[in-house]
Amino acid sequence: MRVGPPLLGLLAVSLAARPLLPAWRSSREVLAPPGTAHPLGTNAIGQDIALGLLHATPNTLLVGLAAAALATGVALAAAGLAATAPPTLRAAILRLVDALQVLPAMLVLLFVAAFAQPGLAGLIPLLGLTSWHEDVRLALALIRREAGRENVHFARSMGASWSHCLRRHVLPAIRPALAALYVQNIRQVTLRGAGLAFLGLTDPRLPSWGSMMQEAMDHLYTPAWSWLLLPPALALTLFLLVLLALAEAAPDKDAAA
Amino acid sequence: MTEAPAGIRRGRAPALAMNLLARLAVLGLVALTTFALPRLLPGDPLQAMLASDHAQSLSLAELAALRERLGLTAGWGRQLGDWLGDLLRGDLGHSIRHARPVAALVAESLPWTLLLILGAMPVYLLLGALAGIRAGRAQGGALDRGLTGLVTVLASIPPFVLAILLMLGFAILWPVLPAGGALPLFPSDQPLVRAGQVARHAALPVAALALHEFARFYYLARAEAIGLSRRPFVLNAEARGLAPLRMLADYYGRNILPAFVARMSDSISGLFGAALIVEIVFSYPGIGGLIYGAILDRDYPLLQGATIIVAAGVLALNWLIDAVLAVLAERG
Amino acid sequence: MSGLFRIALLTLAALLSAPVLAQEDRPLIITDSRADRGMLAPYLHTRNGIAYLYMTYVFDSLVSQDRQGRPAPGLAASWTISADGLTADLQMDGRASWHDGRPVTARDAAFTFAYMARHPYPFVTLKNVAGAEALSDRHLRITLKSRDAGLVSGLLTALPILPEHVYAAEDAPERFTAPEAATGSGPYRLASYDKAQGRYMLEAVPDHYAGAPKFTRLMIVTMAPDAAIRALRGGEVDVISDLPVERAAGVEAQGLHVVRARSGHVTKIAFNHQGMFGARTLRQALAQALDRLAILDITAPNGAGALAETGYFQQGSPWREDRTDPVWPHDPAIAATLFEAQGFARNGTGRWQRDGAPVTLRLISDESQARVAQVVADQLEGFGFGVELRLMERTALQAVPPGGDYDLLIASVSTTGDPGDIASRVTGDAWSADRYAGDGRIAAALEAARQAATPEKRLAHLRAFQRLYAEELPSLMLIDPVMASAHGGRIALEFMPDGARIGIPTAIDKSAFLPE
Repeated sequence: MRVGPPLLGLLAVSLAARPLLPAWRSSREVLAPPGTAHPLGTNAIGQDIALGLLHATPNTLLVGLAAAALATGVALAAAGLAATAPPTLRAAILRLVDALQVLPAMLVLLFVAAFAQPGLAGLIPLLGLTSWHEDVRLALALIRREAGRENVHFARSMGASWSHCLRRHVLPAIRPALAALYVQNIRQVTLRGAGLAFLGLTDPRLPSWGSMMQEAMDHLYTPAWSWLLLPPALALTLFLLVLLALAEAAPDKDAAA
Repeated sequence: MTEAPAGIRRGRAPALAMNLLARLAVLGLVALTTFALPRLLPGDPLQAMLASDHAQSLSLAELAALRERLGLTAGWGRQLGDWLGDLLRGDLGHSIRHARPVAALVAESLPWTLLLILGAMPVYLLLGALAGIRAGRAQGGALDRGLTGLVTVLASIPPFVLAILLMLGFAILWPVLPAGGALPLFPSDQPLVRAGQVARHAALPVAALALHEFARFYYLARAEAIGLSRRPFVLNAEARGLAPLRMLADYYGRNILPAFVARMSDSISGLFGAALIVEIVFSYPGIGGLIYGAILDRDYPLLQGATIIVAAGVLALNWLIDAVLAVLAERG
Repeated sequence: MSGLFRIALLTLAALLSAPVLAQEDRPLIITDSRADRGMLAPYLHTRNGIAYLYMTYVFDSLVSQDRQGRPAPGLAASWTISADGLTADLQMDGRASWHDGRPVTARDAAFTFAYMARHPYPFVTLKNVAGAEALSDRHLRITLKSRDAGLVSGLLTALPILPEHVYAAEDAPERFTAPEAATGSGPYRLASYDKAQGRYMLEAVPDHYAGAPKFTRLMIVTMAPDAAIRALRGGEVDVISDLPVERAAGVEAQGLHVVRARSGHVTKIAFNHQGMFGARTLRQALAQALDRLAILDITAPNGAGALAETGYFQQGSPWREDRTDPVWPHDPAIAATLFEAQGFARNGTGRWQRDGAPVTLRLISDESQARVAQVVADQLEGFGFGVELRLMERTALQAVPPGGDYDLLIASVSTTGDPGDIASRVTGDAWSADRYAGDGRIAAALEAARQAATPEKRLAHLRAFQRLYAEELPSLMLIDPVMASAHGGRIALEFMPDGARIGIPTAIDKSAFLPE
């Protein structure tokens, strides 16, 4: 599982590069097609698209990585609790997960986002907390399988606490599977975040690939759609594909099982 | 993910009843949430109503009278009690913005959303199954690699971009299909022609929705097919030279069914979210746009009524699918 | 293969596409880009100007407007106002009748005043009306609490008259959705309304007292601008009521008619007068720190807008004095001097500081003004202020109270229609009002205008207001957007100079469908 380092590296590079970039200012060159001055053209208030892509990169990455981490973490905690808790509590947790599963997550997102217009700090918990429930059952199955192994039984019989066992024996064993889950979550969260930005529900001062694509909607009947829509869409798709490639390159037989 | 919910296998009826009860509890929770959330947020229906540039500055007495008429003067407890009471009597209330019964509004828009979803469902289920099984049976072959690669790229494009690209391709750059709406300017009176018009307008939104869900079921079918193609009874049948169609239907299709049904149960709520985006892109008059507008207008009665109907629908479908799943599991 | 496929699709499309109706029996078809304006009755239409306008096709008021927007006889054929301005006597037009055939009487009008006092209607306020009584079938007397120079062009023009025999028994008009709710006395009757498709069919009332309408049927359909342009070119529709200005040139190039006008619905920066911008000098400094021309060029290029006048009234308004308002030209040096005089100082990096702390301006707006807000934020940052821009959801923005958590608010505001309501738009508490008190001179000028005994005196006070506004800057007017309509030639259209009825910027006021 070597997914983390390249992603974090990319994030670090884009974050470090941002102060070096010129500010993303509006200009009188409105909707200029791609050319020498603006390699990818400009948008409706004369901002350079290429520069916007660069400014949006760290935001998009950060939201994806952090919200997915939050979702995976909460799912793991809930699964760990369910695995070790008495049956009634376990049933309650699973019922809650079922309920959340059935509630259209989009509805909750709409509600909250419509009023809060979340920026970076708001978007991460919002996306994270509306995605975790999808992983609980899987995480629980993994934990139970590992918890049923002999080394854990042995540790328990030696008087080790559940939390100790989870930390020392179960977690290391399911790490590869968790990594795969994490990558899957990044994809999920990124797509959802782009959807929110597309609906115009995120902070407009937070350039993201999704919000850049939204601008194309007003220009579908003019040639401007091509340079408004395609660059951010390609960037987003490429990012998601790279994620997949990274996940597949990682040797995690456990996750496939 | 495909395991049946715990407890469903022993004694089917009581478990299903328990399930139903749990879902009713969830519905109650949804009701409370949709009641409280909009009221916790800034602004109220009166403010939204007077937002127009042309609204006059009403006197305090006039404002108080309006507030009273909108039912906003009573405390939360009263409002909630009134609403739940009405709900139990089957009265969904009266929309403030549209000045019409919520039930009528929902009845007008829900069919369009259902048309999209029910139109897309067979497309992506069948195509997903067929393509997935073919790829899975020939795992690692040229077809599998090509198809899987294509689907992977497809799954990495945000659904609204797919919708926009479809619209650009078939309604703007090469305008063979309508770009938006559900009916033409002059809908025909003849049912058959009218059905054709409806179909034409639904084609692109349905395609966008189907493409969005296709990848999920393709992967599932492929994974199941890979497993199945190694099982002795399938290998045996293959060796006997069974007709390809029978092979597909009886050996693969039948065995993939439970997994498909289980996955459908998970994906229903997501489907409504995807439908909302598709409705917005194609300005399709469905329930997503209705709810979205109700949020913006602080139309409490409409928001509450439409949300509870959607939630009840999703819960009922979900319960039904679980019941089917239980039957399938019992049959083995 | 692809050729065959294409032919098959095209054939299918031809088979399934709707037949275009023959020209003569076809209604005048008007497109509207926004869906569904609600049922065309006062309590049922959606709460915006265009929906109100459509309602006036069906419901007449006591006073109407001619094609230039001047007051003209409506349900009242004539009127006189007493010397003290507190009593108005109106003679009803005896030829007027409801769509169900009953005559319109002074009793209906008196009923409407009483009914709307009990059931407030957001587009009309009756707070200054003491009473209205029918002295006979034809004679209506209205008594006011105080003199109102805008009685005729304001209240009497805005108030749709309801049929007593239909509404008297209705205690909840917002739930009265039966077709009878749209029984009016206007030139058109509502024949059908399809809510889901946002589509109205209206039929002319041939014996209408103002003359038979020019078109026997009128149809309003919801259509996105691009589809509408295509349909207008193909002759399927006749009028695009709200053509996006940026598309106007392209539409003209296709040989179609386009009419344009400045809307008078101005994008402005409102100040939080309870914060630092309570000081007039700072408002003037900010005005000169901003480059209004650049804002215009970026957000409304190619004639999509004009630089707004700073004295409230915009070009084309009959209330405006034809003089050059101060333009507060872009001058960073003067602006900097003004800020420095108020205790601001620039630090080494050019950031403005006050009392040693960097100054961050809180700028709020909503999605509809996102572009202007971003450009303003850019300019302020360029000038050396930190800017915290929040684009809020519409209703949440409206809920921000006066003196709330903001310094600057960008909103669109109507400056058109009878000036009777300006006081509330400048000194009122509403979100789009200026929320301005100042030294009271502006409020005094407006009150004097309201109580003016003659039109000339009213105009004089309004001119004083215009000069004060441009100096005091309760808000800084930025852009006056241009609006456009397109038509294929079946009807001659013109925008009304000061907006229709209640100041709605439109070219399809009902006077366009009536004989001159």
